[in-house]
Amino acid sequence: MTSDYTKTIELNGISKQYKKFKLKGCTFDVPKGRIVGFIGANGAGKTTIINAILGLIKVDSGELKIFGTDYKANQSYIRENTAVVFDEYLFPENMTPSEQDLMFSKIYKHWNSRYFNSTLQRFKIPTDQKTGQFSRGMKMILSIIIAIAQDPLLIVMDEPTTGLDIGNRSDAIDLFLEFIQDEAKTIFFSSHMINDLEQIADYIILINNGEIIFSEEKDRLLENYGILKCGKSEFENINPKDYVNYRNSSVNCDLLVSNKEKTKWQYPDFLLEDASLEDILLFYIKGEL
Amino acid sequence: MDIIISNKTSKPIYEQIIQQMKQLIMDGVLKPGEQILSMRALARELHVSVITVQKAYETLQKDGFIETISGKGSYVSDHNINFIQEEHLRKVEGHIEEAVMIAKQNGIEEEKLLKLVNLFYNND
Amino acid sequence: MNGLIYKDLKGALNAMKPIYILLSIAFYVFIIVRGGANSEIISSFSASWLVGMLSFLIVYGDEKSKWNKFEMILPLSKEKIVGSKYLLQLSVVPLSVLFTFLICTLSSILFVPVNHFVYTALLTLSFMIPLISGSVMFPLSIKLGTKVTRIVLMFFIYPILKLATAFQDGTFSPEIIQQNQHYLILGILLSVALYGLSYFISVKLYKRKL
Repeated sequence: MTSDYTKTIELNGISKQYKKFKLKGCTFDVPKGRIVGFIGANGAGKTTIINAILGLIKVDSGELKIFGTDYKANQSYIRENTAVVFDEYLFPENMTPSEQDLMFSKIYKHWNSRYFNSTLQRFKIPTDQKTGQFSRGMKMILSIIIAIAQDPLLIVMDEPTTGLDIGNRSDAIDLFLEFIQDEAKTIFFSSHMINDLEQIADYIILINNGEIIFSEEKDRLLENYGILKCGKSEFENINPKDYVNYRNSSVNCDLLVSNKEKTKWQYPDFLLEDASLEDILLFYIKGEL
Repeated sequence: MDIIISNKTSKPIYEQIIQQMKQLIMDGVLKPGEQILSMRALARELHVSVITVQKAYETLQKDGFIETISGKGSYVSDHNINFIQEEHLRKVEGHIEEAVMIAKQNGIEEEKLLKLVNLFYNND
Repeated sequence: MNGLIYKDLKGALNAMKPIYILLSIAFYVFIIVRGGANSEIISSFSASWLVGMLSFLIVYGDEKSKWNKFEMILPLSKEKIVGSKYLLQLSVVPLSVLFTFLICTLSSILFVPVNHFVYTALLTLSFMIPLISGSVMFPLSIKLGTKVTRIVLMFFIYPILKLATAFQDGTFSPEIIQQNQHYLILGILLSVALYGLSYFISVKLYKRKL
């Protein structure tokens, strides 16, 4: 097993059919050493994709590679080096963090007890109290610390910051950024906290209705996407090829464009604004197209 | 090293980083050969994407302001005196180009412009 | 695997509040004192049964707390994950035997010394019951969940009650037991073999998929 890969996660044409939902040919990469954010509406397929990446569900077709190797061939190596944070607290509630420390040190080869304890101290998490009594925020921070203390190459998270207050989210982000200081480490996580992603993500992947819409550098998204604003009556004059989606009201129309520069000289008389990540997502989810 | 990033301006963050780093170097706050924060460390301090800082550092390196040695870190370039000068010259050229454009658009003659330049040079 | 065993033991210890233990002891003492001679038979059976349920409680707790989901991504083989549960149940066997010993001793002190052969039979059965219940419980709960398993395990109560009354009303008189002691040894061997077979079945049934 070498560390000679450039893409920590590679999905190729992953499809899965459920009764009321379908993943359709999802393809994207998560490069090594990067923070990749995964966004989409509820039910768009984020959790399904994450479960597929973790091997928790069987896919109907497609290829999955983790650390450059086929998922099925090296499951134990992949599991040893991947840490997961789910959106709920899964650990025994009648255990204290000290007891968890002992338990995990016997489960994970690279369990970093020193990091675990010093970070608990840093966030003022009591080590001798039953974790069931912690607030939700503390439980999630603890879950994140547990993931990092495994010293993994990859951390996969499914909505790790949902329901956390601002203070907790800031703590979580600090932990992620510390973790990624090592170039060999990668973070892949889905989140509804678009603002957090707008800050720290290197790449953004958007999924909608089971399809991957884009997988882009965050900077490029923010540089290139824009919102063209026009009156309702002017809407027909705009070529459908020039916008990605639109949202109408009775008096005006907002159009999402994917090339601000081009749009600026194509439609110089209209108001053109920057699009935030939230804007982009909203257009894809709620746009008329 | 003080770097202040604004999310509210339209200037891309990597450009802000470039501009501020260049200023720090030209002002001598960052000395030649001095080690600066690694890309990842700066990304973390500023809470921005590593790619953003990487772009900035790549440009700074291309322009000769810094050097990044794989495995060791990033350093202010030793040979930046010339580049500082070039940067200043570029600034001046830009301003002059703008001044000439305005002058031409508004019917101000070349002689008048040159006189103004003279005036400012000799005024202190 | 050691980590998992630690977790389950800790979980069990944490759940066993001193008050429960005291109440249980009081309960059994009460039964024996009030029940008189022969009450050790039914007590011993129920104690073995109860102790054998410990692992079920742990499996049930895992299911409820969603630890099961996390367990699927642990860097441990199926053999080790399932093995830790089977080892835990094994640790319950000496407890079961110990309780039977204590109950019989108490009864012997209070009333008539328990017949030697009955005593041997009870000890043997206290060894077998946790093994048999574990052999049934694990594959069932892995495949069908703890709700179904709970119902199935409840059905065991009837045979056990029948067995207990068979001791008490003389069907299994000391003479019969004496003549059939080889069945006791056979019982032990079979329950161990069943336990091993159950382990292999459980490993085959254990799925790491949601």
